[in-house]
Amino acid sequence: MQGHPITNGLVIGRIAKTTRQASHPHTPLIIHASDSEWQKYNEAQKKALQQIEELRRDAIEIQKNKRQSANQHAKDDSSADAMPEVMSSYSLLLTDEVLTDRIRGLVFGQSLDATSAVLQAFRDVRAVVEAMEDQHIREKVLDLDACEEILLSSLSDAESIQSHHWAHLKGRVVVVQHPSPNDIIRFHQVGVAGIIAEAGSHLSHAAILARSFNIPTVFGAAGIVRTSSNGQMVILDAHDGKVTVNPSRSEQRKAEARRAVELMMQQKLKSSAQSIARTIDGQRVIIFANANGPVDSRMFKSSGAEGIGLLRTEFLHLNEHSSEPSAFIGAEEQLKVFFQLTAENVSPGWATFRLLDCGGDKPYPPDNALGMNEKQNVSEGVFGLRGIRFLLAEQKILELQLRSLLRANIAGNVRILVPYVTDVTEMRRVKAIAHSLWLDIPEDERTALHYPKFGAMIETPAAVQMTDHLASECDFMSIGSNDLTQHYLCVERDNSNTQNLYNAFHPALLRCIHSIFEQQKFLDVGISLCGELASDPIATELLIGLGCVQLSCRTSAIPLIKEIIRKTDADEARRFAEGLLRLGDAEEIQLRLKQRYDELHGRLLTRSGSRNRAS
Amino acid sequence: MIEYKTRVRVMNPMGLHARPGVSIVRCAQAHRPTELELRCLSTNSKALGHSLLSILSLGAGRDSEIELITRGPRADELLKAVKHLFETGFASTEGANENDNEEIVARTSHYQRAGDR
Repeated sequence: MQGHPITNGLVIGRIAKTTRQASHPHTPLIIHASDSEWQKYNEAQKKALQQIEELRRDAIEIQKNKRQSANQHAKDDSSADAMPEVMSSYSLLLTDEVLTDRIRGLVFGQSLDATSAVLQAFRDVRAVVEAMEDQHIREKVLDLDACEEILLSSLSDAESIQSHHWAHLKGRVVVVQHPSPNDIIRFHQVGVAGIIAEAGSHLSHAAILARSFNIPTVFGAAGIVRTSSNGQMVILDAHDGKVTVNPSRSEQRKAEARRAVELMMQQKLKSSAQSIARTIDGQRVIIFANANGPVDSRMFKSSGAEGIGLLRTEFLHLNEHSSEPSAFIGAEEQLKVFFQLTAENVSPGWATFRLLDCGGDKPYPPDNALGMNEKQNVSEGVFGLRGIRFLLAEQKILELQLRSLLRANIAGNVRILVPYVTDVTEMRRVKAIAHSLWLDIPEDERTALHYPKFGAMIETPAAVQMTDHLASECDFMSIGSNDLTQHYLCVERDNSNTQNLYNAFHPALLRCIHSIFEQQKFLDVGISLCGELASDPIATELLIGLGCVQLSCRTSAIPLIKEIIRKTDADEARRFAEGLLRLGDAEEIQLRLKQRYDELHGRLLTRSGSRNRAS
Repeated sequence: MIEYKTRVRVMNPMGLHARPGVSIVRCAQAHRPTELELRCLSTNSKALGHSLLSILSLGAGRDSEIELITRGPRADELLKAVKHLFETGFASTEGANENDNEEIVARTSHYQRAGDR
């Protein structure tokens, strides 16, 4: 059975069907839901702190009793001694600002529910701890598991019935009709091995979540719900979307061998991700990372990225849910610290912050003076008051962002990216506002600061045509392939009637990207490419062939993309791209790209190669 | 805003782990709204003094050099207090903890002796 691959990976496992059907195939981010999740978290935190306080008191009691009757409980001595102190370190951790901010960011920025946000935040913390060089500290670090468990158990009191419902999916390949983003989060929480769905778009929020959790996933496997049953063996090949129910023994053996090679390759790729990427003939390709929140220095270093090519600042703004407009004033310090820490953590690489991009399919910040809300999102459609249009209409938010970014640029690596530009005057206006804000910063603070770089997103046809003029107002530029595809093909990602027409490999898009890089030859600004296309391994050679030398990718894709670049010859890539530019059919282009990828790099991840077939 | 700075060295054998971290955070929180920032010069990373996580993620081992920076109304006081913590090895109960095992052994033997009696 054939479906659309959503992620990479190969799973051999047993099927667990879930009858639950999502009520809304596309669940937009609803601010009220985030509010209630955040409240849920706050209540859980309070409860957890009470619980810890009780434990601490108990521990002190035990200590007292012990002192009084020195002979008893001698065996528990050591742990009881340290208990009160351990407990108070727990409560410090649970109230920790960095952790709380991270969780808030996840709840409001990524619309995660409270439980997933806690899980994700602790996973991030663990990643930091694991990356520590000093073994002593690593081992003596707080008992994160215990803290997490206390918090989760306070959270789950209300939700235990639900999570019980999902427990049987653990370790299974889930077969589902049409999963919602929340379903994917639940699948991730219970730890499913893979996901097969009948319906769902590869651009949906659910698909993006599956990718970010790295769960091998295939959507669009028509008939799977009807034809499969619980407990059946299945091979889920998320590389090319192939689903084999009840495989023969030889098929299963082959899949197992491929799985083993895949694991080995992944390990190898990870270790080579740190060094810079050059093509065979020495063309340097810069790889940036995309980020959705504050960037930690250790996580950044381990990713292998050379800077941040796109940091979406949306998550910071959705935090402010007070109805008082003045809430933004207090936010400036906080934003500045976030920006500054992030910039310093990725220094000397660029830290590219994209100004708030809302409107279209992205939610408006809750208390904007224009009174925009989710309803307008729907009625305005893709071409509404979006990106810089919104910011110029609601200048308070623009000024807040610019001021905190200006004040954060101590390391001198801050770049400000302006979303949804269609006109060169928009760049001029943003820069003029920034400059007057700059002059308002007190002299003594300003001396420690660098003036940031400015760049425009090229994601509208107008911006493509005007690249040269925009370049004269920019220090750098960035192609947003997702929006560009929507606008070039007149296809909305969230409209299920036209979704199948969305194809980033449409020849119109290739010609468009080609023309941008052709123009770049006469300009002295660097143009990077962000968006899903940059993280798609089958597109890498083509992009290099089209003249792209800066990519901003999903962190998890970086090792593979770098490895592909090292195996690519820039000259040959150019000829290959020229050949594709002559084609008129998106499907054929995609097919050729896949064939080419399999031929050249198939062994990297998707195929075990001839070695295994021979054995 | 006036800023105070000084450099200290991590003296305790286990580095800046949870327990010293807790002492620093306590001290910083008691001096609010004065800000404390720690910069680890060897790993070139920064931390906020009132966040335990952020201090732990410095990964500052024994002998790392740390720059302390304080800003705000009682900046000098806070700087002195934190510096003192570093210099005294965080009012080191650490030495005792290092020998946790020995302590248990000692107590157990005491207990046994008491039982013997």
